[in-house]
Order: sequence, then structure tokens, then C-alpha cells
Amino acid sequence: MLVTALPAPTTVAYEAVIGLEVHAQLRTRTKIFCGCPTDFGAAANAHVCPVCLGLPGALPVLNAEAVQMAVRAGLATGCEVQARSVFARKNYFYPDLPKGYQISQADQPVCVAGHLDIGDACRLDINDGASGAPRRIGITRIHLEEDAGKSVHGEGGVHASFINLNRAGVPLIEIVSEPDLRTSEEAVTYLRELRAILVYLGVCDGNLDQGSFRCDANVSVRPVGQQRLGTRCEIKNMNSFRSVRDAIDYEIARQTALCRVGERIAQQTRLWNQELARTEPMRSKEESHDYRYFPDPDLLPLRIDEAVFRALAATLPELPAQKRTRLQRDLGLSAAVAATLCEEPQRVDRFEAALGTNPDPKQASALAHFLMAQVAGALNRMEQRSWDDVAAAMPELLTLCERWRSGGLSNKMLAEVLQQAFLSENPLPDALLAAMAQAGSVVRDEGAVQAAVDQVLAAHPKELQRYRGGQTQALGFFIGQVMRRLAGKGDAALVTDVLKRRLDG
Amino acid sequence: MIPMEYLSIDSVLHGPFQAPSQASTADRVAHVARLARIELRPEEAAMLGHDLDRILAYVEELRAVDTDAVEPMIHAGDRGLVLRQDVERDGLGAAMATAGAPATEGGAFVVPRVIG
Repeated sequence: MLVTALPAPTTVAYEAVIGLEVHAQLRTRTKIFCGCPTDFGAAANAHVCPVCLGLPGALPVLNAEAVQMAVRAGLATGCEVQARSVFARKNYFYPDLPKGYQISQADQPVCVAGHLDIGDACRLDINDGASGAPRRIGITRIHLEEDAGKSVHGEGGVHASFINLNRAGVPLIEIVSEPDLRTSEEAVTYLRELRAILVYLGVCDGNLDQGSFRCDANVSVRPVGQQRLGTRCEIKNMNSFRSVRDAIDYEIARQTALCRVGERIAQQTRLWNQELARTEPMRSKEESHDYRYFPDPDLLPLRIDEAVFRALAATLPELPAQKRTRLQRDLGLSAAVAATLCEEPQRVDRFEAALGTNPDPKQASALAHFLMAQVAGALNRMEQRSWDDVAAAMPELLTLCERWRSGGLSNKMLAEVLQQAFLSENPLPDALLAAMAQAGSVVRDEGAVQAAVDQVLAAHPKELQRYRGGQTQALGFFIGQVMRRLAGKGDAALVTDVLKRRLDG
Repeated sequence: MIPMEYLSIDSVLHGPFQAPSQASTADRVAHVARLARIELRPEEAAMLGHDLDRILAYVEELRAVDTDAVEPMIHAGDRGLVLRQDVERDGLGAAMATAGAPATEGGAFVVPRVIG
């Protein structure tokens, strides 16, 4: 009898190993090494000077605010802030890099050895199976660097590229994770949490489509149980959380399929193609791994006194994880509701402000669930409004929620108020007030309700017979019919009460 | 990601080659020329190769010195970096910034198409 030494290839289970590199644009007023403004959307080359143009003789002078922001980001992610860090030149040639090198940090970054806990956040339940502790993702390093300019490549046969250097020299931090992530879900959760932290700190506006928060992913696969890492591919060109998730899933499937048939993975940089929903190898011409880093002679080592980062540590705001815990503990919100509210500091701040200084947990919970169900539903249906609009209208939404809860508005009236306000071109607070004023109030006139009930019972003798024959579930049908006759404005409790009396009496 | 070759000289010495010994002068010149995005005529490559060999031989001579116990000195003096406040200063403006450019359009520098 033959004994096969190896299991059939199809029985091998693979796991993915994912590390993320995030570039976050710092919200300084001016660039990292010169006094040019960082405003987005200015006319081409309106914000350039000899330093960021790389003109001969110009010398970089580091922006103190950029350093403080990088240190705050490091402190908020449990990093060790290095007392001494060094700027280096990363050499490559590209038209949007005027100096021929990017000033970055190489072997001595400003922050090292941090971590981010994911899992308590979530819609998802990502925890370490055994301990039940939230998954801890290591942060290898955070370093400061300058952004490059922007190239626009001519379309329709134009054989030219157009270079705008307004972005050249805008301060960035690059946050490099350990390869601790295993699924695209974890990767996206990590990114959302990191983004929220940076936005809470006020160091980044977290805008993925404008590119102020960008992510590259290193993905490899290996048989479950193998310690050694597989060959990795770096994926670029993902500009939404969704594309990060899709690109990682695609890449895991691609690499796993290759491994199953025994092919080698080529180490390469691949670009996510959103339209075709696949990753494609970047042409080797565009690649350049030979950066020849060396310490920048124009910049002395950056020294950060312990006193400085202690002072900065004292300025850290309540961070998303702390806020979620507090809202769950003090206001009884569910984890999912707390997570959605806390995604944006403005959203949760307005939520808390609307509830006042001594929030009533019942009211808070009602408002939170109202936001997550009715308001989120309206946001999904009517795309012209955003969570920013909702945040701005929090007091009005609280009023609306209270009116609905106390029975002053029926479900149908509430839906109409939301629809009218969300479709209006006025600011949402004004639109809500107007729609509430027009909604009128529920019909509490017992005579009117009785008249409607009589009409409905007369119009549906069959159903009446069935009800009286014991099929009491027909009650719901009658309630619906009566509400319809009252144009959706009947007081639900009163309608039910009158109907029951008539039916059972 | 930080590549293995941190100091530039290693890249020039080893480049993409498996071992330093495999790197011929011509390979090194071609490698550096590619990184610098310059085209060399054969006689220029030969001349630069000659110079590069001499420079690298000198560097090899320096590398022979045992510096294990010596702290690297990158900068003369180590007083720490002087920082500036986050305050705007006037720049050049697009017209002056692009005044020396061979071609401009709408304030942008126009260069030969970079991709595709």
C-alpha cells in the first residue's frame, strides 16, 4: 500500500499577514521646512518658495508645530518618543520632487514601539480568542517627512505631465504597523481607529478622498502554523476604507491561489484598480527601491526633552476608545452605537452637548438609537446630507426624537419630517424646525378616531367576521386601515384602544 | 520601509548586485546612471567609470580602518535642531516660481509625460 507523505494541496489552510503604512497629512498652517501655507485647492504653484522648490542655497528650518503633532500622535498610540531623531535624505528622481530627494527619517524616527487596540470598537468582535482581550496591533514606528508635489498626467493624447508643487513640503507622519493584522476586516478596523485618533488629536483631518490620510498595505500569505513569513506584495492606490478591504481580500485570494498550485509569489508593488476590482503589478520603471538614504547635512538631529513630551502628554484629549467606554458605562449605549457616534469627534461632541451637562441615560440612549436607526436610515436614502449636517442639527434632532417618543408624532409623521428636512436645501437645523412645524400633531380627537374605526369596520366585514371568529391577528390589519384614513397621524395608542373596544365590545 | 542599505556608499558599491565582487565598473556606472536618470555616451561612461573606481578604492581604503569604537559624526557639533514657529511667510508666487521653466500651463510646470 502506498503512503503519501504530503496531504493533498487543497487541505492546506492559508492565513494572511498584513502590515499597514499610513501617511497622514499634519494640520499645520505652514509646510514642514518653510513658511508656505498648506491650504488645499489653491491655484497651481501659488504656495511655493525657494525652500520647497529646492533652489540652490535654500535651507530647511523645521516647523515646531509639526514636531508637536507627531509626538502627540506617538503618545496617543503608546509609542516611545525618541529623545533624539535624525532626518535623512531619501533619493529618487521624479518631477514632483524638486530637490531630487525627500527629507524623511530613516533609522532614527521620532517615535517607536507603540500599539493600537482594536476590537472593543466594533461592529466586529475582534478579540484574542483565549484571553478575550482586545486585539493589540503593534506600531513599529512613526516618522516625520515631507510630501511630494502633485503630477497631473495629460489626457487625450497630450504628451505632457503638469507639476504643481503646492503640496511639496507639506508635513506628513508615516505610521508603520507591525505585520500583526490577519484579515481585511482587522485592517479596516485598525485604519478607522487610527484615523479617529488622529482626528481627535486635531493633527490630521482624516480625509481619504483628498488624500490627507493614505494607506499602503503589505500583504503575504502562509500556511496556518508556519512561523516564517511568505513573500509580500505592497499594495498602493487605495483611497477609501472600502477599497482597502476589497484590495486586501483580492490580494489574499490571488496569493493563496498561487500558493495552492505551488507557484512562487513575486515580491512586487501592485496598484489597486478600482474599476476592474483587482490589483495589478506596477511597472518596474516606476519602482525605485534604491533610495540611498543618508543623514541630511542641512538638519541637525532633532532633540526632544522629556519635559516637552510630558507637557504634550498632558494635552491629549479623551481618545476614541476612552470615549466609547465612558458612553457605554455612563449612558448605557451599545458598543455598536458608541462606535458609530465616536467615529468623528464633532459628531459625539454635538451629541453630548445636546444632552446637557447631566445627561439622562434614558434620553441619551433614546437619542443615540434614534440617530442610528431613523436618522442613519434617512442619511442612507438621501445622500445630499452627511453626518456633518446631522452633527450640526443635534439639538433639533433631540427635540424631534422627544416629540416622537412621547407620542406627539406617529412613525409615519416622523418619517415625513425627516424626509422633508433632509431633502430641503436649507441648513438641516432650520429645515427640521420647518418640517416639524408643518407636521402638525397627531390626531387625539376620540370622535375622529371612532369615526375612522366605524368606516373601516363597515368596509371590511369579512375581516371583522374572521376577527370575531378568533383570528385576533387581524387587529394589525385594522390598525393599518384606520391609520390610513387618518393620513398616518392617528395617535397609535388611542387608535388601538378604540379599535379593541369596538371589536371586543 | 527602510531598505537594508542605509548609507549611500553601500548602494553604490553593491547596487543591485549579488556580491560586490560581481560588480564590474561598467555595471556600477550603468546602475548609478539609471538612478540619476541620465544617459551616458560610451566615452563618458568610461571616463566616469575610471573616476568612480578611484573614488571607491579610496573609500575601501577608509573602510579598512577599524572604527568600531568611534561614534559616527554626521554633523559638526550636535546642539540640536533649531525650530521655527508655524507662521506663514510670503513665497514666490506661481509667476516667479515658473519664470525659468521651459514650459508652463495654468501656473503648472509642464514636463515630458511621466506615466504611459
